[in-house]
Amino acid sequence: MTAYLTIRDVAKSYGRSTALHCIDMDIARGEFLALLGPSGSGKTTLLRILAGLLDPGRGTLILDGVDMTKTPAWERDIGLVFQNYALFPHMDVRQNVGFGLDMRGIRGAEAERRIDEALETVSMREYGTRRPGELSGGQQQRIAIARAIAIKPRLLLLDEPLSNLDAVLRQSVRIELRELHERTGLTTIMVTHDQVEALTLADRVALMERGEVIQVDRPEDLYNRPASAFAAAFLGSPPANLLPVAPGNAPGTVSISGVVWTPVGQVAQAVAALRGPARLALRPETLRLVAQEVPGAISGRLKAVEYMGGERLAHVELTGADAPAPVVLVRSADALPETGQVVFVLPGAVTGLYDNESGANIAPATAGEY
Amino acid sequence: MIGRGPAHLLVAPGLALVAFVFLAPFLLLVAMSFWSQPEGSLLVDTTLTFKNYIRIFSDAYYLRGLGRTLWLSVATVALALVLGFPVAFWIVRRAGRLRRFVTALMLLPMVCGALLPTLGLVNLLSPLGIINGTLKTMGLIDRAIPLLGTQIGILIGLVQAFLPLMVLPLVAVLDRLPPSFEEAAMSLGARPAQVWQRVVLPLAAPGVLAGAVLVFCAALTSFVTPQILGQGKIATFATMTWQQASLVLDWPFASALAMVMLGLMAGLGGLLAVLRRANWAQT
Repeated sequence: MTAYLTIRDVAKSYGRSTALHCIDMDIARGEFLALLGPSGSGKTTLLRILAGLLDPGRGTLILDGVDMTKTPAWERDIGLVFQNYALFPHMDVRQNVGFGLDMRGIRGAEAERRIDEALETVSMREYGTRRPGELSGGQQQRIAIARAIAIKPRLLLLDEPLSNLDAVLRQSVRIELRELHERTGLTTIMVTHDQVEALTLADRVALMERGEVIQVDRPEDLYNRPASAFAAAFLGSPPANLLPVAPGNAPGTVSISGVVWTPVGQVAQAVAALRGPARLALRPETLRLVAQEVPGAISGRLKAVEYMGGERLAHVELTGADAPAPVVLVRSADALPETGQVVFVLPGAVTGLYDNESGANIAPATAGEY
Repeated sequence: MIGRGPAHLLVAPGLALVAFVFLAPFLLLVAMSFWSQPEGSLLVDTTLTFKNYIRIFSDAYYLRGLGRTLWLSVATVALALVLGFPVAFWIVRRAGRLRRFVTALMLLPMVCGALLPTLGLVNLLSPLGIINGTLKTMGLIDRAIPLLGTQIGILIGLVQAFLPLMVLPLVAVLDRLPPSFEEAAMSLGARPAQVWQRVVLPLAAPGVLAGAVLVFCAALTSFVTPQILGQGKIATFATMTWQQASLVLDWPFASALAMVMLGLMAGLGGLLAVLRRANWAQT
C-alpha cells in the first residue's frame, strides 16, 4: 500500500497525562478509515491533530508526500465536519457552504457553481437561502458536509457524524455517508465510539484505547480475529465472552476457572497453544446451547434469558467453577428451557486466546475463521 | 388554587414605593424643566416655557459641555470595548477555575460604589501619585504629567468604573459561541484575523451593542468620576446639573439639563430598537 496520509510517531500529552502514545498509521488514497474507541481513547485528539487544531507534542504528519506537521489549519485544505455541525448561525446555507471558497478567493459565478455542486451532492440545493437555525439536525449535518467538501479537501474528517441524530435517521445517513464516499472518492477519516458505524462504513477500522491504536484492520478481521482481549470485549453486542483459562492437568484438557473442559475439533486445535493462564474469547453467536452432554461441551445452569426480538440471549453460569462463577452469554434463535435448568454450551469457534502475560492472541490464525 | 387577589396585594408596597419615590419625582422633574426661575430670585415661575432648553442649546458653555460629555462617553465605550473584549474572551475560553474569582473581582468595584475606587484613582493619578512618581523615579519624565483635572484623567476613571458593564454582556454572548465555530472557520481556510472578522465579531455583535449601550449611559450620567477626577475644572452634563441644582439652586434649569441627558438615552434606546427590528427581519 502506498500511503497517502502517513501518521508517524505522533504523541500528545497534557501536563503529566498522556492523551496519545506514539501513533503510527498509513492511510491509502480514497480509503475510509474509522477511529473507533471508548471516550478518552484519544481518537478525537488524533482527529484534531490531523485537522491542525491541536499541535502534536511529537511526530510527523505527511499528506500526499508533503510534511504538514507545521502547516496551520487554514492552509491544510482539510474538510472537517463537527459533531455539533458548527454551522455559522449568522449566515444562510449558501454563505456557509461558500465560506471556504470565499477564503480561497473564489467568488462570483465560479463560487456559485461550486456551491450548487456541493449542495447537489447532499441533495440540499433548494435550501440555499435558509438559515442553519431553520434546519433539522439531519439537514444541518448535510450542510456541514457540503461546506467541508465544497473546498475540494485533500482529506475529509468526520467527528462523530451520526451521534446527534435519532436512531431512524442514523441508519439512512449511514448509507448516505457510504454513498457519498463512493461518489467523491475522498480519503475520509471518521471518529466514532459506535462500533456499528465503524464496521458498516469504514474500509478499515483503527481501534483505540487509552491513547494507543491497538489494532488497524478490515472490519471482518477486527471482528473475527481481535488482536487483544480489549478488542474482543469491545466489539460485538453483546461483546465476546472472556473466560479465564489455564492448561488442565490431563493432556488435551483446559481448566475454565476450575472447571475441567475437554474441547474437540477445531476448537481443540485453537486452544492447543495454551501454555499458561490466558483468557479465551468466545463470541455469543458462535456458541450453541444443547440439552444433553456432548463431547466438547461445557456444563452450566441457565441463569436468565433475555428476549431480544427474533433471538434470545441466554446467561449460563458455569457449574463447579471457582467463585465468582463465570457467566457465558449465548445467542440463540431457538426457544430455550426454563431458567434454572442444566444446559451445555458447545463452542463452535474460538475468537481469540489471549495470554495473560503478553496479552497477545496465541490462537493459530486459521482457527478463528468460520 | 390560591386566589390571585392576595398575590397582587404583595406587589402593592413595592409599587407604592416606586410610585412615590420614583415616578412622582420624575414627573415633577419633567414638569419643572418647563418652569423657570427669574434671575436673582429663588422663587419658581410655573408658567410653561422652553426657556431652559433654549438656553442649553444656545449657550456655548452648555453646548461645549454637552459635546465634551458625549465625546467622553463615546471614548469610554471605545476604550472599554478594546480593553474588555480580550478580557471577556479570556474569561470564557481560558480562565478555567479562575473564572468565578475573576468575575467576582470585576463585579467588586460595581457593588462597592463609585466613591472609593475614584478616590483610589486620585492617589494613582495625582502629580505626586504612583504613576507620576514611578515615571519620575525611572527618570522618564522631569515634570509630572497632568492627569488629575484633565479629560484624560476622567477618561481613565470612566473606563475603570464601567469596564465591567462591557465585559459582562460580552462574556454572556461569547459563552454561547462554541469554539467549534472558530475551528470550523479555520479548517475552511480562514486566518485568525479573518476568523475574528467573519465569525467571532458578527456573532458577538449583540453583546458588543448591549455593553456599548450600558457603558455609554453610565458614562453619560456619571457624576462622581468627572467631579472628583476633574477637580472642578472639567464640566460634564452631570456636574453642570449638580452645580445648577445644589450651588446655583436653579432647579428648573437643572431639571432641563437632566431631561436632555434622558432624551439622549431615550433616543439611543429608540435607535437600538429600530436596529434590532431590522436585524430580526433579516433572520
